[in-house]
Amino acid sequence: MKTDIRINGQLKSFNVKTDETLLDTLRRHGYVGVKKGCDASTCCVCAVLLDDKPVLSCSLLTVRLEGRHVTTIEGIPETASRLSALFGDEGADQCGFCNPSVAIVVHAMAREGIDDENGIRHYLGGHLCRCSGYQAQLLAIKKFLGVTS
Amino acid sequence: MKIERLLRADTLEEAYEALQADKANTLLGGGVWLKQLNRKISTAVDITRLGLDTIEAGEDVIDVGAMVTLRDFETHPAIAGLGNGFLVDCTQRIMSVALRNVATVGGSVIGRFGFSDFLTALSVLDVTLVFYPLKKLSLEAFLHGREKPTGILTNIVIRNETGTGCFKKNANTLLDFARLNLAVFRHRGGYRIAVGARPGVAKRAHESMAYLQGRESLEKEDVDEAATRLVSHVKLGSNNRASADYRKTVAQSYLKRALQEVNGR
Ligand SMILES: Cc1cc2nc3c(=O)[nH]c(=O)nc-3n(C[C@H](O)[C@H](O)[C@H](O)COP(=O)(O)OP(=O)(O)OC[C@H]3O[C@@H](n4cnc5c(N)ncnc54)[C@H](O)[C@@H]3O)c2cc1C
Repeated sequence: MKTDIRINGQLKSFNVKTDETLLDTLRRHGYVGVKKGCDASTCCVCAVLLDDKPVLSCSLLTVRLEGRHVTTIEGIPETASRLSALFGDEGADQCGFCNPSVAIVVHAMAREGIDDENGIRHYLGGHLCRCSGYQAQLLAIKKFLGVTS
Repeated sequence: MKIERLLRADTLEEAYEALQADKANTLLGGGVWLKQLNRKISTAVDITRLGLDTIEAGEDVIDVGAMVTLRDFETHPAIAGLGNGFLVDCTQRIMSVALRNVATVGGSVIGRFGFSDFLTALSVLDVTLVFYPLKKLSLEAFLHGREKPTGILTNIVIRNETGTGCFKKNANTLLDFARLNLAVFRHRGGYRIAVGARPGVAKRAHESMAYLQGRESLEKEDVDEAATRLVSHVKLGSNNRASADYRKTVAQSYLKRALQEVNGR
């Protein structure tokens, strides 16, 4: 089924099977910053922005997204590079598999004006990272968002 | 989940007719739950375009469209304002923001999930479900009555009451299903109490509610009696998450704590 979606600002026309997920469509077309982890709506590494809100791309059918705006890590280079420098400073970088999805939600947090640690913790709930222990990531994200308390 | 075709419905009538035409045709809410199932769908019916994704908050009722996402629900001021925000507390403990930006209120009701936190919290409010073709049913009748409506859920109408609510959940982590959940709502004249993940779906504790009816201030004996009635009248069973005994112990403690909390202690 033909489906037109704006990806990172560019209008793209996809021909997809009805049951293809946004995750598979994106990866098939080279947006490989989007990762496939559990593929069962749980780990959040497949998160992208749909009309500016973080969503699980593994749980959305591409054919339902006609006319919508999708943003992947490739579409937020400034957030990505600033955050990765802060991850480096705090020693939060390990395998890096979950970094793109964390950058996606940090981008959403900045847009929504999340301004305290509780809000960040809540927003990161469900984002699984198998290496870091989360503390260093939290410190980096607090710096990114200018949260001091 | 395998899907042969998608129908982007332009009217409720069109969607309903497609659903009636074949048992293998299925309505899509957010589709998150459906994705987990090994189901073959002939025509998946998408009602995204029908404008069922808004919340209208009035003085008497909050009218929630079935396609409103859990995230839009929990961030709406009227929902935050109801019963001291206990619905927000409940919804925020369901998986991740990214899941809740996809999962819908309608799918959460129609699923009648035994583990549901959402249905337990809603069960202590006065909630009417509106279906197409037009049919209205209380949430309690939907969950426990004989009649099983087959239409499309269009709206969830919540009476906008003054009161204080409290939600409790027992689970290993944010990403686990509840072993038990419980909600209490104190309104003028009494209390509503519901327990879910029993492991069956949310149920009101009518005997405890009747006992507490009209009691102004609660003494320790009152609270104990309500807790005793809760576990003797609401069926709590065993499954691989918890035994019936465990659930009974947790349910009693949660009820006592929740009653204290809604009374400002
Ligand atoms: C991994 C995972 C973990 C979860 N954990 C929890 C939890 O801890 N606590 C909790 O409370 N919930 C939990 N949920 C449930 C979740 O919150 C949603 O309730 C669930 O995903 C259903 O919403 P949906 O929009 O995805 O429904 P869908 O998957 O789209 O639909 C579910 C069912 O409802 C039908 N349906 C949908 N909308 C309508 C309508 N308007 N009219 C008629 N029929 C309709 C569909 O045909 C389908 O049969 C979890 C879900 C997942 C996938």
